[in-house]
Amino acid sequence: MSSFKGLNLFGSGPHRFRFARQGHLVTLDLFNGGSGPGSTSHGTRELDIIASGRLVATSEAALWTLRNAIRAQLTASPAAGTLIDSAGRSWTGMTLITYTESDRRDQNRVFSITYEAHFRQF
Amino acid sequence: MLLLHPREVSFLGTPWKSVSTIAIDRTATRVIAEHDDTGPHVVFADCPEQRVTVRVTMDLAEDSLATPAVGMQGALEFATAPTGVHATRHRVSMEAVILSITHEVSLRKGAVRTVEFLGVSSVGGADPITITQIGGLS
Repeated sequence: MSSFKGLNLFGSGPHRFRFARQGHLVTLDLFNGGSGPGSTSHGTRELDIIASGRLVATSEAALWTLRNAIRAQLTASPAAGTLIDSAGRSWTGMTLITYTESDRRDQNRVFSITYEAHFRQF
Repeated sequence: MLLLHPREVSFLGTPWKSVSTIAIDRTATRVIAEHDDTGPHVVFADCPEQRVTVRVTMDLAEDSLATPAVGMQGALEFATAPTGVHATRHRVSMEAVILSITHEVSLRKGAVRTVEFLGVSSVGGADPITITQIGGLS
């Protein structure tokens, strides 16, 4: 079971984990006072992991509880914790930096909404 | 839902005669089929958007110039035809928009007009079709 800081935030519905863009942060020399087509590395990016999936509940109120539980992890100052994916792989020192939902909340047999939760290891 | 020889068919209060069948279809216009990291199979499915379409088929015995227009909206109502003395009769009503009006002429069927409707609801959570019992024994 996946978790963040020991909380089962995503387990109500299907979800996946993936790395965001990894590797060097590169800028063109042309825009940093230089000339020509060269570029400069500023080091490797921070580790970013994205959890994407669908929150599922049997009522509108229950779905809001799930949504608000994730939003509650968006704190004013970074509050790092351990992120564990569906396969049990864990990353320490992760902070939830953004939470994005799709343009519609779906409803028929159940209430559900898709999301992306973006974590960063500062 | 299929009704053979329905009775008292009307649209916008105007009776429609010689209706032979009314077919009510329900289809999903958007399907959710979600997978997760554990394997290839769908683990969650739902149909959050759907539509109810109704096809009214009627026999034409003479020329017909007065056809309803595509896009017209109004109350479509009809009653079931009981097949036995103790059968329960029901009235089916819905707010609907005409999607198409087509005709077919053949030696076997004669002249047949088919009017296709799309059911609409006042609120998305309500079924556009209302069925009420109007007689007989249940």
